[in-house]
Amino acid sequence: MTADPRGVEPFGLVPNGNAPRGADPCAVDANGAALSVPDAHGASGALLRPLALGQADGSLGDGVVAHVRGLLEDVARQLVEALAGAAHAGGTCMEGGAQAAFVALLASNGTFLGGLHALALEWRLTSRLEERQGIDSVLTPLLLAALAVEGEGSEDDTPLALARGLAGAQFRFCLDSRRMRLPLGELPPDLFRIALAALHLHASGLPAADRDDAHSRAIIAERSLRLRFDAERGRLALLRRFAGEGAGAAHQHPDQLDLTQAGAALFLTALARTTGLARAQALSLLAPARIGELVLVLRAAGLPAAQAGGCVQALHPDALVPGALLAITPQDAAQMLGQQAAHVAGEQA
Amino acid sequence: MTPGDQVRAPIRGLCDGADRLVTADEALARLHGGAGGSVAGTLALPALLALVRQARLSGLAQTREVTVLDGDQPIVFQARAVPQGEGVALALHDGRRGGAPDHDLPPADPAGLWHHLAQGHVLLDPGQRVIAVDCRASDLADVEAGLASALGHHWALALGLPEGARLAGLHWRLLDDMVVDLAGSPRRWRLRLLPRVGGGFDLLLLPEAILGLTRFGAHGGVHGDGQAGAEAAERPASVPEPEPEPTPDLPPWAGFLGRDLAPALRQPISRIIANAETIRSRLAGPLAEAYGAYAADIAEAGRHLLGLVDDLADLDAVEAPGFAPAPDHIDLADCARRAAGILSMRARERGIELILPEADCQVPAIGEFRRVLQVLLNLLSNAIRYTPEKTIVRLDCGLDGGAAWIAVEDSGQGLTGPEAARVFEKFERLGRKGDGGSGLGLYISRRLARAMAGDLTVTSTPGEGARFCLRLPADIPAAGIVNAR
Repeated sequence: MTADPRGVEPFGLVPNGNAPRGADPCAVDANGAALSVPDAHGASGALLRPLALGQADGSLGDGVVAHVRGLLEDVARQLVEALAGAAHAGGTCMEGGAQAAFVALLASNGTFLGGLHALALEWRLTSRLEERQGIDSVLTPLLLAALAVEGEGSEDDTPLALARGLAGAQFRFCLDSRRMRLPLGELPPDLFRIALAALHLHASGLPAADRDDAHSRAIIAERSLRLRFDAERGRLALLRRFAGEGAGAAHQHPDQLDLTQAGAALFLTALARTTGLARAQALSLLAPARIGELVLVLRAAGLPAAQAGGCVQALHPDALVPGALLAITPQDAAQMLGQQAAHVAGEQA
Repeated sequence: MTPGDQVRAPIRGLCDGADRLVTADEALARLHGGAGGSVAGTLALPALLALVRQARLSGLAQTREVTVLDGDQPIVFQARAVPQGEGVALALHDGRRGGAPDHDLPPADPAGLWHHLAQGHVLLDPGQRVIAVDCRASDLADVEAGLASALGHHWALALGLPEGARLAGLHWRLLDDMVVDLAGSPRRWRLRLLPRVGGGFDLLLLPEAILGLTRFGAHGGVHGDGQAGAEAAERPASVPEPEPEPTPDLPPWAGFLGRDLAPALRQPISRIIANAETIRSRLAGPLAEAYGAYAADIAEAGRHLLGLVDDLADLDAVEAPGFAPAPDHIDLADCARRAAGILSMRARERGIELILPEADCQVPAIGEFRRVLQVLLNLLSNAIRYTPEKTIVRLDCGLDGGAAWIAVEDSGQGLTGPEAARVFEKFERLGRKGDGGSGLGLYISRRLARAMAGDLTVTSTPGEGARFCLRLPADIPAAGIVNAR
């Protein structure tokens, strides 16, 4: 009898899925155009870091990983259907196994995977805040206040229409997340481009005999998907519009940085705008290890100390935040963040 | 580990070459004994036994986390097994209580289930006004379009429900769990209103019918905010419309009521009746007159319900393709006396005199005793119910060639010719209502009579009462020994 594998520790092995990759298959577009996949190493690194530091807070837990896989499958399914539609028009049919191939292609792109991971984390945060903190996943106090404004409902550009549009988009985001679905129309533009590139990559990977046909189908499918895609009508765009255009908007509406008033979705958008980070990166500020930084950001943006404390309380009910940290003046907070930013910049240089 | 932490000594034990626990610390011996192990018997803790065997066979020291049960309490140890001569030495470190095996499973969540079953979701603000709508079922396309064009209005108005304006004024609890028809859908829909934590509501549209659930390609999404494209992409046009369901000979629920539902319903209904009777009779204490009367109503309604359940279960039984009563040697006169005995109280309450066959009369027949009694009870209770007070109901029986017959004759209004023809039809009430009948009794009785190779007929003269006659095959060979029963 051989030793039970359970008795042998996987000594320092990195799980396959998280290993940094050298060449990214999505980095080369089939049409020869350079497809930018920024920082593929960085995305894997960001996934690996909490594991390596022992700071895993469940952001790579089974539920989140399963959610990411579900979203991947859903995006792949929609790509297959788009190709099937194109084949229908062209008179040829799809081969089997295409969905699995798309899943593999999309999963090998760190940016794409990181984007889906951020969406999975946002949903986990949203549903947790609803269950444990009583913060509604859609009808937050800020949104309810905007919906209660009397106005002409027929006009498209009124604040009421925007609030209704946002409520609908966020409502569907919650329904889709429950079902682990992600309509292509809701992808952030950069992820949408990667999904389209996957159409062509998949065609390039086919046997030479099928390739020309597959390329033409991919082009038809891409065109039809692009026609339907409108980045400005997706949930993220509506959130940005609701949060207010312009870099200084958060300072005019510090309530949007009050998690209990704004809800997770608007809070993340406002946080991204305030910090100048991408929305997915802003999510990482909510990790337990970064409470101090988060408080500084909130205070620097002008959020009163009590509300900043309330945000941390909602995110990390077990955490104790020193009163002195909350009591820091916005100016000091901004200065400390500036120093930190300068420090980081110096390191990178 | 900080110096303050107490390092507990490991629990030790030793197993021999046959995995018997030969020496053990007291704690291990207790766990071993608690799991049914005996002194110097095979180690009784399965996880530890596996570890010991593995160490012994491989000759290598092994360490792993094992869970053993101390009574109902799981305890988790770091267990180390080191081969020692023929046997294995065990050391258990860091014992701590483990959680129950299912402690981290989420509790059952009916709301979550409804969310998954719902084919349409509507988001409502605290005033139940429509904010957003999302429908998956193709037959809800009209509903979705209607709701999307009525944002900001109460959902009952936006759905175009009858009396929508009245419904819009009601508390949400009164509106929850309604079943309604929706425009454009052939199905009935159950509406659930679930309050959200933020003060609004989720309105869920749950289909009442399963057949032909979701059809693909019928509509491309009517969202009005850029969703249409993505939705259309999800619904391939190549999937054909399902064929219309052929109408089956038997409904899919055939047998369900009699087999599954009726036994489940009888007990709770009986309890309702019993408790209502307790209240009515004031066994549990004094009570205002009005409440006693309410309790009587509850008990009466419960009895009606119970009768209906029994009738429907019987209906299921007699309409089942393979229904056949178990034939037996019976005496119709005996049946008549038993049925009269059961209903004598009710007859006396109405001042009705029951006239029975002579005490020495015997009418041997072939039939199932229980079913014949059921038919007689039905005929007799009808006669008592519909005959005027202080009159006579007569039970006669006799032999007529190869047939045995028993007749129940009342002195009520009787039936006209057309009524007599209709009276055996299913759910036929002859215009009566509110008296607790289901319109199934005579239909079932005739089905039973015919299933026993007999028949149930009625002869009547209007104004002079009706005579229901049950005929069954006579038990001719047994005629001479009828007294043996």
